[in-house]
Amino acid sequence: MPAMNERTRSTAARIAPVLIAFLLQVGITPQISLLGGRFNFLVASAAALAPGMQPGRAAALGFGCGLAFDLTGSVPVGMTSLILSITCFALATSTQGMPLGLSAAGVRLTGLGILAVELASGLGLFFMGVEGSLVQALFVHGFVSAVLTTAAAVPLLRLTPADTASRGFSARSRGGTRYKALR
Amino acid sequence: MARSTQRQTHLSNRRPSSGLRSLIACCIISVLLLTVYLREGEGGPVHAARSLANTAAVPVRIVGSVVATPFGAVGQAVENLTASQQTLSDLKSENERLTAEVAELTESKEAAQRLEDLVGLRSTYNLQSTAARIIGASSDAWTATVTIDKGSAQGLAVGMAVCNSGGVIGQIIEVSATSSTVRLITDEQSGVSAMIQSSRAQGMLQGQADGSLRLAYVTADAEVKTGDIVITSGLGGVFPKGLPLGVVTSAERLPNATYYTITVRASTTAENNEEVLVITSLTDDQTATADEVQSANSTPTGSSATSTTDTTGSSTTGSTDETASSGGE
Repeated sequence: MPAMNERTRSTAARIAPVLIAFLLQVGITPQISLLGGRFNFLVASAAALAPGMQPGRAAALGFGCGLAFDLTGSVPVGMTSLILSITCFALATSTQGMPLGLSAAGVRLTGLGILAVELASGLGLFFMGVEGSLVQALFVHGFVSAVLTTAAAVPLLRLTPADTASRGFSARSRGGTRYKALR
Repeated sequence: MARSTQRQTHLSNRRPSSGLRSLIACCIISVLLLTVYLREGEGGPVHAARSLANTAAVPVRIVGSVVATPFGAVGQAVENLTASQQTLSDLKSENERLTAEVAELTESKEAAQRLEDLVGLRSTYNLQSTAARIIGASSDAWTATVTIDKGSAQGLAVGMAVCNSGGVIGQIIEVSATSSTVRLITDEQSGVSAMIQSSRAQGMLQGQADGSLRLAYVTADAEVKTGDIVITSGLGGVFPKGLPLGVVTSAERLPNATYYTITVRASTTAENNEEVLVITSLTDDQTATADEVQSANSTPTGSSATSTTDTTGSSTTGSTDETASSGGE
């Protein structure tokens, strides 16, 4: 029963930032444009939360956030979900489920993930004919949006539960212990 | 040993997956969605889903627009700060062009509105009239006149009444072939037979040196109060009955006085380039009835008028069916 509560709390801790990000994405993002870029709270939340998750779940989170972004935005539906699924999976795999939190490594990794998503989106939109200029798509909209989105991801990195790391390890270590015991 | 190997194989099969399966599933669904989205029409299921999502998001967007308005200004400011000189100069010239266009369109809109009002006035009062435009004002400081762009060639004559959408502005005092001079009701020499709309008390509206209007010869037993509307009475057969002239701004009745001292604010102003109507003739129902003329004649506006209430020093005397001022009715 306590394990169940812990799992529920962990799930809620991950869903709440995503929900807030969704509301911000729908309500605030359309109103703010800086230097040709825009905040992308859904990408920020997915990229910030993915490092602490199992790769499969991270991919699902990326897919969900990407789909929500696609459905409420004006980009082709399916594009961001595809890119974000792959990115979140890659982020989770690279950290092996260890949340990095608000550390230099965490910001760097999340920033790189966000940059990859934004640049890939820009490239995709250019090839689909939505964006007319590749330079504009990559270096103005893409790059500036990546910077803004990384800034938006910083509070989310801070929100990552401090004990998530131990939970992550404990989840694995439980299995490990079991294997050891069986051996 | 064999049992141990078997157990190990079994365990390795149950190891947690790397998540590749989830990733592949997500990718396949995404690619399918993308393909369907790009191939389907506007009424397709993915488009419908997006439309539904956007509909559901409307309340959040409205709240967001209210909350984020100040941030929008910040963004604009930053954008302006980082804009190139070329962009700024382009925007400046574009702004100038648009400003001129807006001014032109606003002017056209106002002219259209004035014309519409004039047409409304014309049909409301069934006026036999000719449209004209004010092309200039008085060239001296002593008279309040305007010049209109129609004259005798268009059938205009001295004495004709001139009004705009707000009511009476004056009367023609000079006519040339292509233009006419109109004395405004605010001119000191002007006088128009008028009456209080609510009480039907009659008098004469005269211009004052300070540009205001005074309603003279309204007997002290009449009912007059601030805010009453003053209209033309139709006496004299120049101005149609019932056209607005102004609003009473003060009505004073001195002890033992025969007449009120009434100040009136004109309901119209004559602006340059404004359209006006020159009333060329009146129908029978636009002039005062015999009873009204008799009622006006019975008003004691004789010598007592000048001695008691005419503060302007006017020598206007006699009945009000033809006013005595030089350009008056």
